[in-house]
Amino acid sequence: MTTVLIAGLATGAIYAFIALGYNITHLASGALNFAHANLMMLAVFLSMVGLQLGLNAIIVTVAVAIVVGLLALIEERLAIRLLRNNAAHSELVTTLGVASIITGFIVLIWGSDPLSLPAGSWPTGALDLPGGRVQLSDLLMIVVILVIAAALILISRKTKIGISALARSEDREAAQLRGIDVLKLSMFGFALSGVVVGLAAIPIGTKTLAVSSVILILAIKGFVALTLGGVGSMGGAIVGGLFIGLLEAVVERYVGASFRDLIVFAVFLAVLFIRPQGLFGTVRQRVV
Amino acid sequence: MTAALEVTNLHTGYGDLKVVYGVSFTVEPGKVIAILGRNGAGKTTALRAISGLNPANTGKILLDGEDITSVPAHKRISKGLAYVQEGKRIFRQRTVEENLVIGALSQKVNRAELTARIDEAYARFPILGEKRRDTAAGLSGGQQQMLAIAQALMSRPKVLLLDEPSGGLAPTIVGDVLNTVKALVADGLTVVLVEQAMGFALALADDVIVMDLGRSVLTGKTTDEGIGAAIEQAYFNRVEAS
Amino acid sequence: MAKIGNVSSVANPTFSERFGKFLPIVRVLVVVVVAILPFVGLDAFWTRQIILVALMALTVSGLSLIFGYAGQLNLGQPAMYAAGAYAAGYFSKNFVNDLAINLAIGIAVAVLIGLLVGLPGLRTSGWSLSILSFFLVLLVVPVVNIIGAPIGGFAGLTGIPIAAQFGTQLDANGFYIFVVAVTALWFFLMLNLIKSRHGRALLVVKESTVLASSLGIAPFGTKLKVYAISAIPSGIAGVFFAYLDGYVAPDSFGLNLGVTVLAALVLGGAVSVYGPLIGAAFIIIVPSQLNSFDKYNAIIYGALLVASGIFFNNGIVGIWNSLVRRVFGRKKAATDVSVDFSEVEKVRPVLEKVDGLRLELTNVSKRFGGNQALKSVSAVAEPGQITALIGPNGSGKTTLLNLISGFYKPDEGSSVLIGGNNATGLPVHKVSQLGVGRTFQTPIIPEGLTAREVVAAANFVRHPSTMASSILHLPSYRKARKSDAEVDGVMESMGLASIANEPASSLALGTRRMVELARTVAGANKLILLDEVAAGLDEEEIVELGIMIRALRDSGATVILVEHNFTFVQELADHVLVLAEGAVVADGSPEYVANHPEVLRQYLGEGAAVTGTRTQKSKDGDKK
Repeated sequence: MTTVLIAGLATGAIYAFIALGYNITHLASGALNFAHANLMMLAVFLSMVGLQLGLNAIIVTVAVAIVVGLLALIEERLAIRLLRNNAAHSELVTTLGVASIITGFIVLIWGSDPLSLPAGSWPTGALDLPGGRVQLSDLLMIVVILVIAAALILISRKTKIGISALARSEDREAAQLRGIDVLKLSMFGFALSGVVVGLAAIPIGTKTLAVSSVILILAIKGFVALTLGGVGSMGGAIVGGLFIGLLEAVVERYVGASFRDLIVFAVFLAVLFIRPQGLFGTVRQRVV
Repeated sequence: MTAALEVTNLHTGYGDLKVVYGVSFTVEPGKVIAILGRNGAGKTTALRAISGLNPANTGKILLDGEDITSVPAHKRISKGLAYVQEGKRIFRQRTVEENLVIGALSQKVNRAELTARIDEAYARFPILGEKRRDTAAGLSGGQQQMLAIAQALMSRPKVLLLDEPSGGLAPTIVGDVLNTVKALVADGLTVVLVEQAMGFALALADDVIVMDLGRSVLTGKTTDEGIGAAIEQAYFNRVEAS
Repeated sequence: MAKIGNVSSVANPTFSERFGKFLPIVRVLVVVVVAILPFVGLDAFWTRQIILVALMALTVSGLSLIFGYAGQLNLGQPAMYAAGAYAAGYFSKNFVNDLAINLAIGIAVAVLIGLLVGLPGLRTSGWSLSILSFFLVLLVVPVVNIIGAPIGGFAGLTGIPIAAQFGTQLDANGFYIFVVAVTALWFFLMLNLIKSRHGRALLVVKESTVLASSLGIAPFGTKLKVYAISAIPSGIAGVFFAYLDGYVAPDSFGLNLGVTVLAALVLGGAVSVYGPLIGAAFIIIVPSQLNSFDKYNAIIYGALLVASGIFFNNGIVGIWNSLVRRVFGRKKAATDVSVDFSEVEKVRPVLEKVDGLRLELTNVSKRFGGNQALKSVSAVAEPGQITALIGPNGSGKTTLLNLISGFYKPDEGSSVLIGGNNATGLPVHKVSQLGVGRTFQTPIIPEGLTAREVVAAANFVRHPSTMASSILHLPSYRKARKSDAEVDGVMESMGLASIANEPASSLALGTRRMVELARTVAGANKLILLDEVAAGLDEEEIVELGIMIRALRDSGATVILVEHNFTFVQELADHVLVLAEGAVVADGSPEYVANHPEVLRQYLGEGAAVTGTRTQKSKDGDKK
């Protein structure tokens, strides 16, 4: 049972991580970035290259964080800033386009087969805990993600830029009047989302492997986690992600692998019907 | 003496909806001008243009002699222009103290100075000090209005744009707000006040301008003879009042 | 009586006016030519290409309907396509191998899947809707695995027989003609739907459900119908796909297909019937001609999607339309098109007589959370009269107007009678169907409609017709068309004939307001709600406005006017209602209200007084 639980928490942590990324850009710029999971997988591939070149894992992490941060910045300028009409679905279409471009490049350069990160880049080995055997790499990955989540919560509450993002997401105009440069904030949000995926690329890549085919599933389940937790809530993203990961693992183990995605779909429908704002989201009043 | 705020021939609106047609006024430092008029007259739109939220299609805005007409909205606060919008637009999901911190975001201050300014705000508005860790949504209407003003003051503005501060408040609370603003003016703050309610405005202002349908239809000093009756006439656009 | 009119400058005949009569013949000719191509030497490779283009075009067309026209980004086409393919494959293999029957089955299953997205989609929107549709695509493989052996599971469904119709097997050319014929039929029906008022109704729903319901269109019902209809072509394509190779594999239906379909749509033109055909042709033919395109297609399609957000305005069809407009239409840039009302003769027209609806409000209250917006408002507005509703900020007049429209439900104990009917709590589209029309503070003008089409929207209530009759050109459709043509008379009488063909969104504000007003005239509305209709108008426009409002009153309608412009109200209103803080403060003739002390007090606030001397004293007293 422990094995199932930890495995579930591990995938759940990845969903939570993606949901965190959605939150960052949503708070800072009001935009949801469909290509976020793609940026994450790109970071994994780039880390793999860096490690294959023999570079130290820390150097690789920092370098990839910077590179992907810059790429995310470029995405903001092209796919978000230049939008002609500001209809909500335009940004979904353009970020979907970016997602497709990134996947295209990944397959073009590295092909579609799963690739592993070089051995030694992340602790391996198994631990014998009561209830079962768990992978050390999974446990450590969960820790890394929780640490990043905690850091993001601190940043949003305690730093100038974090509080600017919270203010902007509540009332963009009032935020401007208090001196917040909303355009720069949007750029920062995207760049930060890129940096964050770079920082966790090695532990996550160890679990998912470097492969393009999982990107979409991660993106979608990350979104379900976001919806369940409530858009804008970092804590909600963690809770939502972990819950879905656990639920999936239990269903896969005790019902069947094919029902795994169906149960997440059911959760999504349930949230949309019963409590669309999620667990920790705020309800916005509808006015004519 | 350079005027604190000089607005010349301001034309503004929303996209191609023209709302304000050529309004001009000047305020000297430490003085208060009240912009009166019925709702829909364009008062708030004029303030929005002065704050930079709406573009000034034509006209000039000088703050302490500096031309800020093309300065983006988020930069005007660091030049000394703070806008308290109508409807108590604070950040309800944030605490009282966080709201004050947000008010100082444009300021280059270190921790000590920031804490000093926050303490100053609590000194001036003790009720906010008591509720510093409460979410702003839980405050009463009057307290929220105080918080909105306190937030704006965190940037030590030279000119404060106040939009209907008495809106939706019970008469006793309105008195509190009035006294607060009076004290600020006595300390040297310049205020541009937009109001629908004449009494509040006349109690505070030195100069008065009445707007109707986007135009200035009356200007004068609150000390002028018969200004009250003149304002009433202007409000109803020369309808016979007897 | 004389009409107001400015008949001298009629809009240049548009492209469709000049060449319109030839188009149906051209369309049929093209289809016939395509159909006989294999018989005049077209080789098997190209025949297959054309079939593939047809399948893609059908799928893209479904997306065009739900996204381009209805504004819902439902990317679940691969799931509906899969449903059609598997259903037809299974049935033809195990039960009946009849192409027409399997088409029907495939369509039915695809529609069910479409509704699976549509029903939750009614309550969600934007991202949640799109993710839901992606998820459905993701679920194709697991569901196929769960169903397992009967449909071939992971390895795919093999052994699908060659298509047969009425017992005879179709050879390759026979199948080809069937595909071409069915595809052509679908596009002809789509043309009928889109060019009819239902196509315009979709654009209205896409722009604003508020506007749609105020025009009597039930937004949810319409959206659901569109979800169902837009699933049909994907289902048809899936059926043909199954027969094409006799084999269906679950991995043919991934998100890549979804991205390809979307890319084809934005390339061809999302708001158009032909766009899907053009986009599909490019997407199928170009890659097949370029070696190693496969490696780059994700990148290129992705770039197309990004570019569509930045540059495109309706893809290739959009480029064609602007070229056509430049050649056949106005030379002037298409913004701020307006009518100069100083040139329009100002004579009051005589409008069709209507049975005005008496509005009776009794004890109408409305609370929003802690805010009592309306307090026991009781008032009557009579037919053949102009009733003005005025009041200071926070008075509740906009709330009251929206409540009468049906956007808000009044609290317990309130009563709203419209023409004697109990309209309390009635939903918006039902209120509109009683004959209530309104304008909005900011005119809501849907993208993609001409000024005439905006005015003709009034007929959704006045001369209703169903989608089916529009698609199939039944008699009620023809009647509806006639009524749409009568709109020209209304526009002429208001001096708007010269801009009738202009895109409504390019009109200047004043003209847009007049177009909205023209819509209430065209609708022969019996209760008319005008929300700050004079705001932002110049003097000439206000004179014209006054003339039209009086004409509406003379026709017998009940006119209710929310206004800030006091001179306008004084000159126009028969009856004035003053609201303050949610309650009625004064109710009577304009003169009575203008001199009512309570009214003055509400506007000027506490501490102000009617006479100058009292103000002087209180001011002296306050100022310390």
